[in-house]
Amino acid sequence: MARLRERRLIGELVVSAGFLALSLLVFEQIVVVFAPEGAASGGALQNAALYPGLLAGALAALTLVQIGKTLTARRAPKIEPDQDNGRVAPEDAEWIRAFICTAAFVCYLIALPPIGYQLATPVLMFILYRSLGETSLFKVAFFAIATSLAASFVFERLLDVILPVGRFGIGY
Amino acid sequence: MMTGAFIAGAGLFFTPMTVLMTALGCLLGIVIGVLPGLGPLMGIILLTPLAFHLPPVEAMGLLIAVYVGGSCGGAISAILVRIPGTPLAAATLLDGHPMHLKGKSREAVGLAISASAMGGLIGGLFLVFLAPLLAAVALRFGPPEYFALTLLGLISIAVVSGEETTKGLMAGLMGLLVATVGADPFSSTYRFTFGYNPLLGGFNIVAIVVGLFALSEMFIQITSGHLTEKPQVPWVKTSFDSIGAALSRWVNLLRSSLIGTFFGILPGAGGVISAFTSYAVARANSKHPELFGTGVEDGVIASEAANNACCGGAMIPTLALAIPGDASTAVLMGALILLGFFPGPDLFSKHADVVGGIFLAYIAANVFLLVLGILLTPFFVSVIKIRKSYLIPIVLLLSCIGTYAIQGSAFDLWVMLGFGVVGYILRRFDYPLAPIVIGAVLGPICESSLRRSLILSGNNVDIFFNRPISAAILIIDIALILWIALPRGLKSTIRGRAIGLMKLAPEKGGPD
Amino acid sequence: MLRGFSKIVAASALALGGAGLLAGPAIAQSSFPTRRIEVIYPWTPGTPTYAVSQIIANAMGNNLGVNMPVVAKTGASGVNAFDQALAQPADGYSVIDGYVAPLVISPLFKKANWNCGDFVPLYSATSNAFAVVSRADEKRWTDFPSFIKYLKAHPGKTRYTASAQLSLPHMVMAKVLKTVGAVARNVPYNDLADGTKDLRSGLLDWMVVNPGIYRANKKEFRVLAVLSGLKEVSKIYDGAKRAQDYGVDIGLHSLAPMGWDWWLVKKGTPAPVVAKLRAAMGKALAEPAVHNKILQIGFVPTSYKPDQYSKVCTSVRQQLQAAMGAITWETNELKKYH
Repeated sequence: MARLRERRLIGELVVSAGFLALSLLVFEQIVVVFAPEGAASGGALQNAALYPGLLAGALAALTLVQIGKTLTARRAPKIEPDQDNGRVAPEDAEWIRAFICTAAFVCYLIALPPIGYQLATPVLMFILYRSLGETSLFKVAFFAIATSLAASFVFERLLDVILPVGRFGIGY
Repeated sequence: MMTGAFIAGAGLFFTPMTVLMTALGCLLGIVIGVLPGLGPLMGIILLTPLAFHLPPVEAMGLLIAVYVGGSCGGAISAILVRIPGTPLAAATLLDGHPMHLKGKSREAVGLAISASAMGGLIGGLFLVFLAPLLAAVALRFGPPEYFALTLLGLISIAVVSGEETTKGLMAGLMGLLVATVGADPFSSTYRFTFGYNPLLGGFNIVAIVVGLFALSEMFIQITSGHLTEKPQVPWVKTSFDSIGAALSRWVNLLRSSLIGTFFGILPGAGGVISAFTSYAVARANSKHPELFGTGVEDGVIASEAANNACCGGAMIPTLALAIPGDASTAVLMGALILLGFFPGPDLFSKHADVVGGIFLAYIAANVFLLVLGILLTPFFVSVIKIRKSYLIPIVLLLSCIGTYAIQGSAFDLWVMLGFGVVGYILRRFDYPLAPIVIGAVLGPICESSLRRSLILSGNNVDIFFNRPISAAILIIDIALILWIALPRGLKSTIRGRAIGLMKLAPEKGGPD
Repeated sequence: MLRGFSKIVAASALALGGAGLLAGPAIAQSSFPTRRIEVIYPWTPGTPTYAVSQIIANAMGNNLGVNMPVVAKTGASGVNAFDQALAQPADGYSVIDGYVAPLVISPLFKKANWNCGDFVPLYSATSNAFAVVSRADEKRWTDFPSFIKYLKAHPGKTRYTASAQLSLPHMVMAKVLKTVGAVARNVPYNDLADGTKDLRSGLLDWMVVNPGIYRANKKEFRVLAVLSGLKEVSKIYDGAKRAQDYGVDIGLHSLAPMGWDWWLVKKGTPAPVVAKLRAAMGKALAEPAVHNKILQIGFVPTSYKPDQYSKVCTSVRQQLQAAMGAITWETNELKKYH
C-alpha cells in the first residue's frame, strides 16, 4: 500500500509537470513563431499571442499551486478502490490486454487510409473481441464481419457518410 | 399574429406524412444522439439531402425533430455507459451515471427524457409567443456582453469540479488553450500548428469529447476485468412515472428551462454551456449541494431541461433575425433556404403558414420525444446487458465512424485517440474532465468576443464597463468568484444566516 | 501461444476474404463512377453557399447515377479543405468546391502553396457580388456619395465589418476605401450573421454584405453601393446602384471583386473521368430548375466553360495581387488615428 501511495505521488507530480510543459510550450511558440511574424505585439487585431499567453500564465501559476499542494499534503493521496470491482489497481494481465487493444487500434488508424474501412475494420474487430476474452473463433470471426458490415450499411447506405475507401477503392 | 400563424400552419402540419416525418425524425434523432460522435448537428446535415425531396413543412418537421431528439439522445449513453453521446450530455453524465450505478438506470433515463421534452416545450412557448420580442433582446448582446457571459460559463468550472477546484481550473485552462490551436481568425497567424497542416482547422470538439470520455472509459473498463461475464440487468418495464418525477421538481425544471432558453436566444452560446450553467445554478440553489455528483435527480433535470430548452431558444434568432442560434440551427436555416424560404422578419409576414407549421413541428417533436423516448427506455437499458467483450469494441467502432463522419478526416481519429490517452491519465489522478469540454467550447467565443470588443473600442477596456448589460454581468462574475474563493466555514455561516432571514420573512422566500 | 496466433491469422484472412468477396464487383467495374463522389466544401455548413453547393451536387449526382454528398471541411479560410482534397488520389472521387479565397487569396498571402494550375476545372458554378450597406434608418448619410463624404470627414471613426480579416470582401472594401481616400476601422467577424446583429444594434456603423445576408435582412438595410462592375448584379440588390454609377472606379473588374467558385478536381485526374464529371456538371447547371433555385437564393450561375478557367483565374489573381496593398494601406492609415 505504501508503495502504491508513493507511486501515486510521483504520478501526480508527473501530470503536473505535463501541465507545466504545456504552458511552457505556449511561451516557446510565442517567442519562436508568433514574434517573428509580428503577431506577438500590437493591438487586439494583430496580437495573436495575448490571449494564449494569458491562459498559459494562469495555467503555470495554478500548476505551481497544485504542485505545492501535492508536496505539502500531510497525508499521501488516498487510494480509493475501483467502484466496479473493489480493487485499487489493475492486474498485469489486464494491462497487457489494454496494451494489445491500444496497439491494435493504433495499427487500425495507420492502416485505415491506405487499405480502407471494409478491409481494416473486420480485422480490428476480430482482434478486439479476441483479446477481450471471447474464445470461440468462428463466433468471433462472424461477429467481426457482421458488426463491420452492419455499421457500414447504416452509415454508408442510410446516412450517406463516405468511409475511407483505401487504395483499392472499396466502398459503396 | 401567432394564432393566425398557428391556424395557417395547422393545415400544413396536420397531414399524415408530416406527422409521420416528425415522429421518424425524433426517433432517428434519439438514435443519432445515442451514438457517440454523431449529434444533432451531424444528424441534420446527414438528413438534409433526404429533406430535399419533401414539401417544406414535412422536411422541416423531419429535421427539427432530429434536432430535438438528437439534443436528448446523448444523455442516454452518458447515463448508461458513461459516454456522452454528444457534447451536450457531458453535464448529464455528472449525476446520470452515478444514478445508473445505484441501480436507477430506468429512472435516470426516464428523467432525462422527461426533463428534455418539458424543457423543450417551455423553450417552445417562448419561441411561439415571444420570438420577435426576444430576438430584439438578443440584439442587445454585443461582443462585450458575450465576453462577460463566457466568464460566467467558465466560473461554472469551479462548481462542476467538486472538491478538486485547482485541478478543475487547470483542466479548464487546458480546454481553453486547446481551442486556440489553428488559424487565428483575427491576425491569420497559424497558432500551435507546428507546420502540420491538419492542425489548421484546430481540434474538432466532437473528437475531443469522444476521446476524453469514450476512449478513457474503454481503457478503464478493459483494465477492470469481468469482460466476458453477462451483466445481470433485470428487464425494466416501460413507465411514465418519470414525468411525474420531473414535474415534482418543477422549480428546478422551470429555472433550468429558462436558463436554456436564454442561452439559446443568444447566437453562438449554445446548449453545452447552458447545460453546465444550469447544473451549476441548480447545485448552488440546492439544500444539499454536496450530494451533486453522487446521482441526484436534480443534476439530470438541470442539464437536460436546459440543453433542450436551448433548442427552442436557438430557433428564435434563427427564424426571427436570420441569425442562427447555434451550429445546428445554422444548418436548419440552410435547409430552409434550400427549400426556398429565407428566414427573417419577411418569413413571418409573407409565409406565416410555414412559420406556424415549423412551430407546430417543433412542439410535436417534443411530444414525440417524451412518448417515444419513454417507450424505448427498456430497449436502451437492455443494451448494457451485452457482454463488455462485445460492447466495448462496438462502442469503439461507432465512436470512430461517428467522429470520422463529421468532416471525413482520419486526423480527427488520431485527435480522438490522443484525447483518450489524456482523459485516461487525468481521470486516474482525479482531474475532472468536464472543464476541458467547457473550456474548449467557450474558448473561441471568449477570445473572439474579447478581441472584437477591444477592436471596437480602439483597445480601450472601458467598453466592458460602459455598457449596462456587460457591466452587470461582470459584477455578477466578480461576486461569484469572491463567493467561490470564500473559505467553506464562512460560506455555511452566511448561508445559515440567509436561510434564517428567509424564515423571518417567509413571503419573500421561494420554494426549493 | 503460437497456435493462438496462427488462429488469429487464419481468421483475419477469413475476414479479409469475406470483405473482399463482397467488394469484388466494385473493383471489377472500371467505368467511372462506381461509387459515391465526395464534394469537398470549404466553409461551415448551413450558409446559403452550402445550399447552392447541395443543389448542384444533387443534380450532378442524378446525372452520374451516384450520390454526391457535400462534406464541409472548415478551417483556415478554406485552406484546410483544399489541403485534405489534395491529399486524396487524383481519381475524380473528390470534387473540390473551389472558392476564390482558398484558391487565389490564401496563396497570395503565403498561407498556402498551390496555384490555379494545380487543379483541373469542371465548370464555374456561381458568383456573388458584395454590397456596402448601413442601417435602414441611418441619418448620418443618405447615399454612397454622402457616405464617402462622412467617412472622409471622420477618418478612422466609423466601424465596419467585411467578414474575416484578409477575406475577399475585406480586400475589395479596403481597395474602395483606398481609392476614395477614406479610412474606417475594420472589425473582423468570421460569421457575417454575427456582424449583422452588431450592425443592427449600433455597434457597427456599416458593413459589406453578400446576397444571402442581404436577402435575409432586406428591410433592415439600406444598400449604398454594389461592389461589382457587372450590370446584372444590381438586380440581386433590388436595383441598387453600383459604385461606378457614382463615378467610383474600384479598380477591380469582371469576377475579381466578387465571390465565386469553380468546381475542380486534382491535377492528374484521368481525362475520361474529367470529361464525365464535366458533362454531368454542365448538364446540371443547364437545368432550368437548378438555375432558378440558385437565382432564388441570390447567387448568379456564372457558366464559364472549362477552357476559360485559366484566363479567369490568372486575371483575378493579378488584380487581387494589386489590391493586397490596400489592406496594408488601411492598417497603416488607421495607426494615424489611434
